[in-house]
Amino acid sequence: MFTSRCSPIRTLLLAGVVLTATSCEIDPPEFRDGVQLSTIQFELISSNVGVHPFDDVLADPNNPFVKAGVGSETKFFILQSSSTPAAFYAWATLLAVQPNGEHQFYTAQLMEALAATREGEERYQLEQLAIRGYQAVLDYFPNDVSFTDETLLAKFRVATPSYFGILRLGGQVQGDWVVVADANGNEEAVQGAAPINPTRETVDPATEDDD
Amino acid sequence: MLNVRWLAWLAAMAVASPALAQNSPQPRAPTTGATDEQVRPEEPQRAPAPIKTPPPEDVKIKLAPTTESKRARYIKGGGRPDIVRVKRDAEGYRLEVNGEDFMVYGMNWAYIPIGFNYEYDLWSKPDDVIKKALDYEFGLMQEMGINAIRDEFDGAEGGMPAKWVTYIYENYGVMTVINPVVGRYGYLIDGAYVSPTNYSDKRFRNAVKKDIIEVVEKYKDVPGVLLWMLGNENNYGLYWSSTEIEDLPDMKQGDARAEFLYSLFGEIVDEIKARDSNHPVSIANGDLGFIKLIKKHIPNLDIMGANVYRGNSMGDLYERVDKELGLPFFSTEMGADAWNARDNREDHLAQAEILRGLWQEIYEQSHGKGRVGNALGGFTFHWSDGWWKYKQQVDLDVHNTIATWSNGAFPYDYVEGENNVNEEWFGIAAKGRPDGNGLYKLYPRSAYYVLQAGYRLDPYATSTTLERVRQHWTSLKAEDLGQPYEVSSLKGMVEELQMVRALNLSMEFETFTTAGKNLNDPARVARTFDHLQSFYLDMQIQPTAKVRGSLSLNVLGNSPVNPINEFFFENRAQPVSVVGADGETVVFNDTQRIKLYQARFNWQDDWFDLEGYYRAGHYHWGYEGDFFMLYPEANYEPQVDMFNADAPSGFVVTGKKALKGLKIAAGPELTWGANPTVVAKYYREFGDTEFSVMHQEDIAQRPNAPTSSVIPLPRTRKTSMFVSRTYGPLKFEIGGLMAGTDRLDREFSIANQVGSDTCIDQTPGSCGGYLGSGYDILDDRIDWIDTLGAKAKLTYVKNNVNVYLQGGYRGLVADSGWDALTTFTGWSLRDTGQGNNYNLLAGTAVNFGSFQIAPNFMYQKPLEGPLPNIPDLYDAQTDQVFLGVRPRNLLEDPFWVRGSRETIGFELMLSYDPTGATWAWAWDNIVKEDADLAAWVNFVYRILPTSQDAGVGVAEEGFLFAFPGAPPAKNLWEVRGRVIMNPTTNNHIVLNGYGGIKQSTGDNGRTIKAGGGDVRWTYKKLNLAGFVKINDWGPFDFQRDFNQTFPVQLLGDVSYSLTTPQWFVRAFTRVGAAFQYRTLDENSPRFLVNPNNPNQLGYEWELRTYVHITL
Repeated sequence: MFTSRCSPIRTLLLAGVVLTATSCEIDPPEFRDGVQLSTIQFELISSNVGVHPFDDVLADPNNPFVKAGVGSETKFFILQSSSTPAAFYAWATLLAVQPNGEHQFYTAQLMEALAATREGEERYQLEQLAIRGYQAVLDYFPNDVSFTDETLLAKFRVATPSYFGILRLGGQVQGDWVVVADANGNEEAVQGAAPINPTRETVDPATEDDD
Repeated sequence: MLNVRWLAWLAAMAVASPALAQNSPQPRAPTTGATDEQVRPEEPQRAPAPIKTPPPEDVKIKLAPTTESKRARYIKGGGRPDIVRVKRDAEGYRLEVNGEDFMVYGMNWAYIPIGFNYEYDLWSKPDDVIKKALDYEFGLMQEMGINAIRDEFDGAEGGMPAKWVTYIYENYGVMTVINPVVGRYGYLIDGAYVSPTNYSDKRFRNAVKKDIIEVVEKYKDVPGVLLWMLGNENNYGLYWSSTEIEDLPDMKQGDARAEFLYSLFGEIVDEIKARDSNHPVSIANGDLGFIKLIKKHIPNLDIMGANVYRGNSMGDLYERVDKELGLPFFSTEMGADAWNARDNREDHLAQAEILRGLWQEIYEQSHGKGRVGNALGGFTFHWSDGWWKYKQQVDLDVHNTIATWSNGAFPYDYVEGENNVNEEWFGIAAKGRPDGNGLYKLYPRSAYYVLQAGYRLDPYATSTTLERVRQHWTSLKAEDLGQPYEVSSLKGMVEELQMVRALNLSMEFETFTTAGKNLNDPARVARTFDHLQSFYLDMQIQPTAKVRGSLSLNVLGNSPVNPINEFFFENRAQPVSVVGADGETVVFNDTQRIKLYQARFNWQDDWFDLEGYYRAGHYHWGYEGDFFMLYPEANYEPQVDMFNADAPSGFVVTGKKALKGLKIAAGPELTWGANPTVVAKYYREFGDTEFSVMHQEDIAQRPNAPTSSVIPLPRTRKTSMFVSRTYGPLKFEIGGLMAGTDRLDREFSIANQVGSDTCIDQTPGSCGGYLGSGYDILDDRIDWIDTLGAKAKLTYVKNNVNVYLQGGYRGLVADSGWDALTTFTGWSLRDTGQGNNYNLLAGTAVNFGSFQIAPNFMYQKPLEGPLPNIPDLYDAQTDQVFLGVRPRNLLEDPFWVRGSRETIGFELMLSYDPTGATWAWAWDNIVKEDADLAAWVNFVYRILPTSQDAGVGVAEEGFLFAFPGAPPAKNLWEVRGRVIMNPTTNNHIVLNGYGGIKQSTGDNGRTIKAGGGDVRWTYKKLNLAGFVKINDWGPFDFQRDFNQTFPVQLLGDVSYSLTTPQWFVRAFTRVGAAFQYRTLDENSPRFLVNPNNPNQLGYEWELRTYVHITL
């Protein structure tokens, strides 16, 4: 394929520079087209993929989003698509280049979903990565939020579902996190021994499970 | 003027032959014996650099009684020109002044305070300062018995003004030898300084003759003129190239050039004699080089003179001059240095012994002693130490002990294969540090007293026989004269004390009063007052003669919080709030009260020189083979202070002996924003050919930067080769580059336009290309071919025409450095050095007298253009994601289009500078320009048909981020100019002006039309400065990044100093006040719209008062 990288003027210039380079023998570039999400396969190539502060996902050859991340709307379209591997790579890439709690939470959630599709040791490994991802939300982005609709009005703290994600996968939350209930009875994961509203009763998740 | 010619000669030699830039301007014959071959000194070798320690000032110098002989007293000519004759009889030659015998007790003299170099011009000082200097210097000379000095003239200007020639004659009996150097260091021809001098060039020959005739007409009737002298060992400077010369065999080329030199001397001698019959004419040759050509071409020469360094005897010189020329002789330079390079100690006794032997021989060879009888006297070299001579531009306040050439005739410190002559130590008087007016004390060494005692013997008295001469001179023992013991003892004690000493202490007391209107920071609206106390202590340590270090500490009192320019060096001590893990805010009030402001060290070893620097600038290696600028210049003050940066920081090792040509630099931040790196270079010259090979290897990636102009580039490595060859007026340079191999296989995208320029609709299919953007997007990876680059440059310099043609190619990641070299003039359009482009530059600088016209052209195009912004798209029907495209940036991509933006540039620079050697456009010209009026204007027009990739900014929180885009394609222009005026002594005015249209370095698309100007005026001790800027950015990078402009910015600053105001000096004693005012609009930082009057501008002002005290 003839491209500007093999243009005559460039070849001519190069000929004066490199005695051996009289023609353009490098691989030609490829035209960019759409990424078919259903064809993307997940393969575990790193023990830290999808966990902040590691950016191993940027070196993952299966990741089609390395050359360009996805936008703020597209990422939710991909999240809702049927391809969990594609969604994972999209969100993990966003996490690597733009670390925040929302990116880490959905990356961990998608890792948990990937784990559910695997068996045995591999499933265990992916679950552990998901737990570490949830824990990273609590450690690095304890106050970050995500939005539940396009108006950006309805939001939630990603720490709370991360907290329960760890428990759901059989992990143990690290740090002085507790769950409290607000006036509406909604549970909220908070840091420190003191509840958000001292007038409300602190809910012990272990007790809650027992109930 | 002489001083500026030196500067030009150095610069020109640096261009023509970089290694010579470090050479002494006065190369000398290396050993005894004269040959007809050119003698080119060895490249100077560095050596230890201790501070010379003159005796403490309370040590009184005991002067010997003034000689009663007439040789050192004023021989009155009754206000008329003195009649000087060379007399010959059977017993030899004598010089007569107004009919009386005159042995030339001569001295090479210059007045240059410590801390200055050859550019220092005593004659530009007020008369009372000159008079004080002359009274002191020539008072000492008179006491010693000196009766003549050499004074060099370059061109029609320079040298001692006539009134001072007469002054020192009438008051101290010292006559002056008027000594045009006849293009020794280059020459100003038609407004252009040409170096090295081409003695065959008719234009030069005519110009120098015309100028010397002008000097003769000016001085021939001045009382106090002793004689004329031509040149200063010009036979050591016959380096010019021309077709006629190059065609000769190597052995013949020197003779061919010398024929032109001495035939010119012969013509000038005749011209002088045709105009002045009262004063003889001599020359200052380099030893007896080309003596046959002297005989052939200068038949009317009266006195043969030569700079001779043959130890304590001239050997067969007197005999040869008599036999081969039939002329009397005096040495125009002779002597020895007072530093023992072998033992690394001062050795003034050895210096005195050499001079004693030389003067005994002069007496013996003078008239009537039975020997040759042709000695007329001599000129001792030198009166006082020249602390500037090593490197000549740096370390001017350091008494370096680097031996720069070898001379076996100085046996007391000669070691075979080693240099032993220390240029900075040739004075027979040591030099003290200057006061605020540049006046200094001298501390005569033993040689002073030995010669003083020796001169008491009248050489022409009938009782002065050869035996009497020998008895007299051999009885003079250096160790017995001049209180050497006491002074040396005291000196040693002081030297020990000076192993650690404070060089300087400065104190800065300032107040800031500020207020504003329509500001978004309420604290800045009301009038506020704050103050600053900042102290600097400069110290030096010198554990041995070979090792020296200096450092400056800054200690802060209060740091003000209200200055309207919020970034400054002392703001580091302002309170810092930190939120702890418990959520509590902790305030630190005393951060960095003491900071290392600057440090340097220097270690001179036999095999290497090691220099280290911390927050202290350094120059690039462009004149010594760094064709791609892998080691750029790093002089940033005051920017590094603004952002409290710790750059540059690193060290340089320069090899010697077998390691000559090798240089290695390494450090955490060699230039501001650079990654930790190592650079190595090997460079050699072989005649007219230069060669170098370089490699740079980044060790780690620097994570952040304080401001956007110093964003660290991705960690990389670079290798380059360079060859140049000079063919007469042509110089051809070519180099190859491989860079960025660590980015191999990194992915990148390119955009090929398929639609029209206005096609930005993203509806698939509407414009064609990817997502209907009008572009095909292609993905690729960096290949090896993208790491290669090359550059070639052809320069042609002949007469008043200078032309260059330059072309370059750089692969996508083949980044190098910005071309900092000066090609002919101060053009702006240059090779940016960035990868991903090919370029062509061409320009010519043509001189018409004092005017220069210099058009310049540049074409540059990136191999791959910038990327557009194309939002991504999810197609639910096909379950496909079309990835977005964004402009590249240096944080995320292997290459980017910024400096390599497609450009067609035109430039026209017009200059007027009657003293062309100081170059009105030079960065430091506001200090150095010595013309009554000099000016330049430069107009640049850039056609920019495309946008560029994204810049990188620094967020308020400190992290780096890429802007989402860049300003659009837009043609830009700018005009700049400067006028420098020196209407009277101590009255110096510099005016700068500029205007043009500019684009933000961020992504803001607003094009600004900015203009303004500034003035700096120093009159005696008064100093005025100010600027006006209209619709321009503020002083900080982020204002340029975010396109934050002020409608009007004004500054007025007036101060009164203790001494002459000095630009580029961190602090000098002065008191003053500065008022700064600026208006704000919606494009300005801190602006708050007045809801009651939305069109109302805001403003802020600052009144700063200051007192700086510097010791």
